[in-house]
Amino acid sequence: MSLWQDANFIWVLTGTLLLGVSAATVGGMAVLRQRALIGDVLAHAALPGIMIGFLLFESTQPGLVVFAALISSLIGYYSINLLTRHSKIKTDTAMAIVLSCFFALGLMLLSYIQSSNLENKSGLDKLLFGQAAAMNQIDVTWLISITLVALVYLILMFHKLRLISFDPPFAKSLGLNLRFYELSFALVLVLTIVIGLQIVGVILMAAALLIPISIARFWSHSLRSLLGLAAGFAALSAFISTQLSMHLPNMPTGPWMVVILGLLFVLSWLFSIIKQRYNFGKSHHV
Amino acid sequence: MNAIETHNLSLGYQQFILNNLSISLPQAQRIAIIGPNGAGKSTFLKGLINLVPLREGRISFLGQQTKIPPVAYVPQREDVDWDFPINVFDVVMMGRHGKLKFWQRPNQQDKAIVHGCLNKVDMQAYAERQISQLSGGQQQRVFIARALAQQAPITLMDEPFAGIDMATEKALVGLFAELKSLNQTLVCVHHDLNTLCEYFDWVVMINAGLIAYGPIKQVLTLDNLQKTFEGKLALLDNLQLSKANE
Repeated sequence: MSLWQDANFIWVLTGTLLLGVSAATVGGMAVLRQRALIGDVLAHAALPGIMIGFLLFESTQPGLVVFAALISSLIGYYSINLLTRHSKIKTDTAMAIVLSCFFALGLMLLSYIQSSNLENKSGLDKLLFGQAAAMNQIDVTWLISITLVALVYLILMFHKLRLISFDPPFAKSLGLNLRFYELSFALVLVLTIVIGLQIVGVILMAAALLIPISIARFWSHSLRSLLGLAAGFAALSAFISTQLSMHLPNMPTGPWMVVILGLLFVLSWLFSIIKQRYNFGKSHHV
Repeated sequence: MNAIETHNLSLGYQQFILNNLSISLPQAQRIAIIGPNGAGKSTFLKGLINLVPLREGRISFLGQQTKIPPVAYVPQREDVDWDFPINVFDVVMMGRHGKLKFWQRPNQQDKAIVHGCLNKVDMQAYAERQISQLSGGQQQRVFIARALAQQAPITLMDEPFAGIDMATEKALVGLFAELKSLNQTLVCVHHDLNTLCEYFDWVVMINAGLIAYGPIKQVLTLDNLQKTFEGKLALLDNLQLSKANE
């Protein structure tokens, strides 16, 4: 039987592709706002929420997981704002504090749940490193909805988000409601991250958000094509990684995806160096 | 009717940077804000448009207190990341986005305005250029064009002459005169006392508070300069000498 007739393979491929595209575009915007690490923090901050949600309802239903993670990540997001606004702590320190404290709490609850007799607990430990192979139709439906929300949001808000990323004081002087745009962007980012947890996991989520746009920056200068390229590279890595993990047992999709993205990054970097040398040599002769 | 009026204005974060500032700035003048480093010049400018928290007092523009002031703003050039992936046209278009809701897109009229503003600063040929490829002077022209695109009656500029070439400086001065002739009010943080009288009509002297303000010819006295700069200015000694010679 070919892979393409295997329903599971199709789900995994669709899911990984969708996640790749939404994470690359939403994460790309975050990188351009010089908030590269916020995604990493929000991913880690989601963990305790998911665990508390499980302890309360003893379920790993996607809806519950998304909601619990959303609340937890948003608390993490506001903690960073609170720390930087009302103390002398700098943003990077505040992010590190929030990331490690939330993650520690999540790990603690996770190991408590693992050693307990609670039912349905299988799968929770997969959130750390992701397990794309376990994806089913319900998960993919969630992925499709959230990817759609993220893409529609980005297209609608594109001009305003770009303005706010480039020059926040000017945006404020125009009378734009920065809080509304910042909070709505954080919401979309968190949704994307939560969905990504199942595929790439808490720890590698940052890679899916940051690497595609970094690759794209070697190839283009305009924001629209940067985001398009980032989505393209993410889709390519998703495609290759699902194939690889199907053919090579015990090598999961999530880490493969990140490794492929890393390879694409190195190749693009080399290409840009060669291109620069070549252009330099050419202009030198003229 | 005055362009900008403030009453008992106090601005700042934890500590008040500027206290009890009451000032009335007229329309259709080129107004410079001068003072030593850290005197609160930028803070004053930012405070007028809610970029710095307003602790006390009130501000009115053209006789009205509005939530969104009718003001175009040119921040300091180094305040933004010039490697950001965007071209000149799109940056200038940002000046139009205050009037557009997030679902609205710039129409033909907006585009025509942007092209017109690029023309005014002689940057039309660079419309498609990435901003990372611009010189300091060109960056400043783009920022000015963006402010012009806002079509506001009052323009605030934070050190528009910092780190630019002579050609751009001359172009800006010409533009200032044009704005004045169109009844526009211009308020600039300015550093170079040598060009103050040539480029501006009014001056606001600030040093942690208001020292003096008014038409340059009346207010720019040695006494006021000394109060503003507290002997931190070599130029003052020269001025003193030239006054003695007169």
